[in-house]
Amino acid sequence: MVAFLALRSLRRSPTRTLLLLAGITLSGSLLFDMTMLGSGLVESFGGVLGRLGYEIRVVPRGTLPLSSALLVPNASGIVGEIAAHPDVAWASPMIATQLYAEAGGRRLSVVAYGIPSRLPGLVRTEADVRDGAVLNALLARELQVRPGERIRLGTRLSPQTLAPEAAVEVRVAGLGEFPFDLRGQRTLAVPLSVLEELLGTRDRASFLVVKIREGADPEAVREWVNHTFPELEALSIPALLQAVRGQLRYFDHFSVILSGVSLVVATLLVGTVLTLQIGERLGELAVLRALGLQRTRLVLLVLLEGFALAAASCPLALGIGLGLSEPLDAILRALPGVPQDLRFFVPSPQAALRTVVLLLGAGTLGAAYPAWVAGSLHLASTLHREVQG
Amino acid sequence: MTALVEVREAWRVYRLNGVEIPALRGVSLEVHPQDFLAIVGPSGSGKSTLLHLMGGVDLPTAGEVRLFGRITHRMTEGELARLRLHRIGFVFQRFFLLPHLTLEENLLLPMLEARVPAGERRRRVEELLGYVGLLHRRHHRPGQLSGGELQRGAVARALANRPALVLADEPTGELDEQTGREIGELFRRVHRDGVAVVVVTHNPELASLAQRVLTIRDGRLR
Repeated sequence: MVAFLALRSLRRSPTRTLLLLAGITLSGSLLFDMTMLGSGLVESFGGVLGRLGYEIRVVPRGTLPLSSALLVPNASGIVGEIAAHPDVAWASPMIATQLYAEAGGRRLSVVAYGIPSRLPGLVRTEADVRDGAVLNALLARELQVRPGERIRLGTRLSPQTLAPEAAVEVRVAGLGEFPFDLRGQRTLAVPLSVLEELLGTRDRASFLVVKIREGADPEAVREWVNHTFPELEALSIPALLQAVRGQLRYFDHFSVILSGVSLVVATLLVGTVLTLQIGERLGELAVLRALGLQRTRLVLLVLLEGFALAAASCPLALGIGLGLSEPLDAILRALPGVPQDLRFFVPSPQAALRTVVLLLGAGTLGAAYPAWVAGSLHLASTLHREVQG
Repeated sequence: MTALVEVREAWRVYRLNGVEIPALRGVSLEVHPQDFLAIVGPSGSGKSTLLHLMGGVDLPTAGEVRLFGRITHRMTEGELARLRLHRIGFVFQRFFLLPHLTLEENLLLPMLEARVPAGERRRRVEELLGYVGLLHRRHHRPGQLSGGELQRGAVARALANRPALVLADEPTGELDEQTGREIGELFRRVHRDGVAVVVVTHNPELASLAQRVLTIRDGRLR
């Protein structure tokens, strides 16, 4: 009965209810966007890491997890020991470094990855890295090369000729997309052996990657690596995400503050309109009490009205929030230093559910004061004042 | 015969800015089943206050009110609400049918609260709307009804849970003479059909329909 009455009460002033719904919907859409932002960046980063094809990244202890310096000595020995662990499918050194690439007289600075052939996740391509270099589209365009052509790679430019020194020539195996590419970044991947030869640094790596066997626990392997090689630090995907989460805390703060503002706005909207409405309905509420409705039923009635308002605005709030997230995401992804595959606003059932729960809570909380007013009205004096006039 | 309402030396004193204003001063009366009682008196004489005490809407400051054998100031709010829901029907001067509900839905409201089964609810709505001559108006909202129709609807709502007592506060106060007469006749019919009726009114014609007329002045029955 109370639910029936609550829904009907909201239809008594359709324009006012629609305006209120519009306000709650907009607050809800902002809330959804901020909820997506709060968790999206880390989720998106986790998704990128998950697609790379390995679960553990091993770096020298105390360095940044994404460092490109060649800091892991005796890489093959360590890799051999790690690979011998029963839970490890394979392990491999990786090199990430700056190089110069030259073709047709054009010389460009590039980010180069020396990768094991069994790590397809680092670059999305139909080409085989074992056949040569896989270039990102920007680099191929700027060097004006196509698959099958050859490019020269060097560690530095000669001060006299400005040509790459200590150069090796590699065939362009194909084009690919690199998930960690920054905007405007020129990138290529070559077999690990090519970079080892070019850099003349056998047995040194930027970091090591470890693939865990199906069903094995990455955390157990991570702890074993940390224990066995105290000079190294093994980072599983959750540990890496934790580190990233720490570095991106300002996004969390941003999201929490704006979420809070949108919740307060929704709460105040519901509270203000329902308080005004209850003021107009005191006589009606007193009559309901006189007819036999208990005080708690009136409180429940008003709380349900707030809840129903929030519930009615949820579908549109989620829709608008989803629509807004695209342009907002594009704006943030245009910031310098943001990997191309990263998304700031990632829609997920959890984010939607969190938004719905928070919005319903805000609607109900907004109705708390008018519900208290409705519940605490003095029956006889209200009847005297409102009904008898 | 057991009284439905027993008011014994009831006082009701309001406190306004530290000043005590007695609305009722030691009023006593009884309402029995089959009674049709009119309470008349000038404005501010305490008529509505007395009606509120008799309906368990308000409690006496001193003295005692028994409703259906129970002393009201010893009952909880919930018990009083249940008593009003099941045993007492209210009719107000300004009708106060909920404007956003149809006439039928207004009648259903007390029945839903009393958890009357659906089939019984439908049967009672038909019966009550037929009783007050508003069957053809069942799907209309209060804004589409005349004053007389509104008050007949309010009487039907008061009867929804088959109360033993109907309390009406100036039920003809907002109606013209002819419509007021029709409402008076309706109360007489309700009374004839076995429901005790107490009407607070300024309307001498309505009061003349009652079996007993009590006059209240300055908070005292005379």
